[in-house]
Amino acid sequence: MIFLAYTPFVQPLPLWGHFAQIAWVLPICAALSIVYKSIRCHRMSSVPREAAVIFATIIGGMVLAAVVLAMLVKFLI
Amino acid sequence: MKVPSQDKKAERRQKNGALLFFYLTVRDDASGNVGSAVRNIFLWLAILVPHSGTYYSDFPDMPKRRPFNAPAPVIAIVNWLIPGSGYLMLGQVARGLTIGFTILILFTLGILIGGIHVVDPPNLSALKGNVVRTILEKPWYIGQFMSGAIGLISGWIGPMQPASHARANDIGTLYTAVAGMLNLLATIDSSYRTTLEDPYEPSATEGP
Repeated sequence: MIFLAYTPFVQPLPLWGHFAQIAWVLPICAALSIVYKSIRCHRMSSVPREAAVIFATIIGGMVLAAVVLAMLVKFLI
Repeated sequence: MKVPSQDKKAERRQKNGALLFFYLTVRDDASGNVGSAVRNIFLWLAILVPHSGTYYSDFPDMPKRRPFNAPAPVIAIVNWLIPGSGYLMLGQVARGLTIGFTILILFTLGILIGGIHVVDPPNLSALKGNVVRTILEKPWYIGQFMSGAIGLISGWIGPMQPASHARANDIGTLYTAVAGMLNLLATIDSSYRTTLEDPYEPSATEGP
């Protein structure tokens, strides 16, 4: 029912579960990786591979940080 | 790789530019004080003209020559207004389209998530005190402003629409501001590439 009153681009997107909030990190990381590597790479043909690597690195780093912090909270504090 | 006919044209331009530079310098020495502002414009042209038309795309199917001969400041302004267009002016079509579409999609996603009111410029018309302080009250708009025409138009329409709150507003603001900062990065890079003899020098652009 919430979609009936929804106007795209005027009102905020009404999809706000816990997973949806976390999942919005993926598009911004992907865009950042693509633009950054498009600027840095010598040849555009190497951009998809390079962007995938940096995207995986960012997401992996954030997951690792989250796991470490969760363990700190669970076992030490 | 340079095409021979383009080499000849570039050489001819370089000679003309050098002659003009020499003439203006001699004339300035002889008369002592020739209108310095006009002279500087000609000196800039003498420096810029020999460098025009010598930049090539690395994309095999694309034209090997710059479609527009424009100096770095013009490339920077055009790229700021329309993300990726600076690269298109340099003949780097694949790079320009990739960067441009990615930035525009990111900005549009930000507005979709948080509503257009996430772009909320500082109200300079009702300015009461310091301009810098007024701008810094809404620092996210600095990033959003960098996304060019789409940021300006959204900043014009946005405040008239209902505001969003909490996470939707945060994420939408972050998306639009990051899109603008990426466009700033592309603007600096595209204008820098215009100053290079070979914009594909690994030492100039290659990185980790």
